[in-house]
Amino acid sequence: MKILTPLNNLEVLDPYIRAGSDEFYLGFYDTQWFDRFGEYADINRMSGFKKYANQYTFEECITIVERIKSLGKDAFITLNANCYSKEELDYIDEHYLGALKDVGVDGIIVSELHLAEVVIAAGLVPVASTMCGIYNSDIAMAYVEHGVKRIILPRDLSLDEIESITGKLGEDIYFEAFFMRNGCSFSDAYCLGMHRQDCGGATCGWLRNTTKSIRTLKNAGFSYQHDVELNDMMYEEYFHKFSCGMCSLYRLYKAGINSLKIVGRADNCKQVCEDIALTKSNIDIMNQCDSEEEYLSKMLFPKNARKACKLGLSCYYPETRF
Amino acid sequence: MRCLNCCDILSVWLVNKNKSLQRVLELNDYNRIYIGSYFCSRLFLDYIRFDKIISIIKKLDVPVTLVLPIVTERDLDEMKKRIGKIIQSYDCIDEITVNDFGMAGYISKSYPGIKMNFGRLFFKDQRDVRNSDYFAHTTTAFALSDIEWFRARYKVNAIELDITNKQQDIDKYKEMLEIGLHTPYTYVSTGNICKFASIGKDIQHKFRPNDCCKNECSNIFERYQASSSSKCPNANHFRIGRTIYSKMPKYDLDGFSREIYIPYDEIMKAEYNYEDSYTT
Repeated sequence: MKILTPLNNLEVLDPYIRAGSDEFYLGFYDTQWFDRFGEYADINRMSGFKKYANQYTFEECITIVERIKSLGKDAFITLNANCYSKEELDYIDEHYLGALKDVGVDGIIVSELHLAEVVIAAGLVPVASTMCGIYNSDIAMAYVEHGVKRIILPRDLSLDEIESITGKLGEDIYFEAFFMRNGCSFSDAYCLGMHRQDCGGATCGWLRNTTKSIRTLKNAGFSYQHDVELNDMMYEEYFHKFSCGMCSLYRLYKAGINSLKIVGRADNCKQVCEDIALTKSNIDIMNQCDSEEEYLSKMLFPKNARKACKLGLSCYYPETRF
Repeated sequence: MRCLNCCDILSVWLVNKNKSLQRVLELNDYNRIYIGSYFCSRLFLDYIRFDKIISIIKKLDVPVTLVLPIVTERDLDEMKKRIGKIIQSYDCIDEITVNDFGMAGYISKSYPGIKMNFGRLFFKDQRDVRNSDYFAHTTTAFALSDIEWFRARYKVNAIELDITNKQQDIDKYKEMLEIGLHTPYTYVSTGNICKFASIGKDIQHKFRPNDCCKNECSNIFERYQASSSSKCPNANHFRIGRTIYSKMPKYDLDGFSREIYIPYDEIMKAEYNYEDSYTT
């Protein structure tokens, strides 16, 4: 299993590799794109956060890809905005894909089927992002039929479902699964509010910090009201404040997951490095184990486990422990 | 064409004889009714009684669009069986709205004689009532600029958009196919983790994706109101079921062949004693 890591700072490339990362994904900004298509035209999912999440220009990105490749690792570029107009797809094809092919990038993380076709036509490998919303084997097959051979499965799928999808698609398809950091209460593919600081951030965070009134039809008394309010508190204050899939590593491996995705291009690099190292250690432990039970008894927990491992509320796949 | 969106929780309320919804049906002149779900496979498979809905709607003598949600892997086979039963049983259903490429392929192959629409979840233009500058721009839905790609691969009868901007320029495309606009609520965000489905569950079993439920969403919704000191004091969001909606301040129906109207305002006012006081 490989460890796929976000990269937004060249200075951490070597530490991430030493910690155990095998693959990197990164995005870029391009002022000419925004001049052409307007300030709200995202190049990738994180464009709204500007240089905080996309520190490098396209040309700098090419240089970074060269460096990653020279170190024997794989590099992926994100072109995974919600959607693109026809003109934007043409622009991507004309201005970016040729150079990315020349530098030997290992894949383009795409958010839609048409862009996947454009990428394939350019001689590159598309990776169907979680933005594609591949929630079942039929949707996965639709992408495979269009030439996609690498798929990122969404966060909000159970382990049983992951096993079913990978089982039906077979070994020819390469699968990634979310593994550490940045859970989301909504579906990446269908969260269409702006991810921009000047809007108050992503919708999920904004809602958490906004005055809310809960309206109920039921007049079922104290007990129901208590359940509603407790549920609200758990959701708003505890759910996916941290996100971790470490306990599910063995099962993900058996399900045929090839890469483990550590999320957070804009996150604290030291914390990401720690997560990479922990993941690597647990992969090594798992490789020595003959069963899931053995792995669960021997695995290492994250540093913040006392706080984070709360009743499954920080788990990507809570069914493993709860 | 004015269409009544009775999908999602409304499909349940219709059967439960919600008086406000029945009044909406009786008093207004709709050319088409939408039933099913855009956002929740649990509602579709566990709670919507299509037999009862059809018996209510048949009296109106209007055609019906069946709306299919995106299902996760565990529900895929059951969804296909259910679709088969519904299509066989009710000839007033002359269209199906799909919301993902998997179901688009399945319906195309399995029911080639029935018209297929591409639903609102296909079209992912940004929408954000918090950004009044963006809303004020006239725009063309990105999907429309790429509509030939869709039409080359699928036999698309109609597409459905949400209000993303004050004006959406669809002039170039309205002769190619039917374009519907969902009003007055735009969906902003949705997913498989339902907050309401976890009410009453033990903490360690809360917030699982596509979890079983007791249809709690029939009895509860949330309204989020930005503070008067925020950059966007008029921003309002609602959580109804799994989905966050926003009521857009204005919209322009010019060029759209269908308005797909969801009567949340009428229901909220009557049933929850709540009235949205949003003004432009």
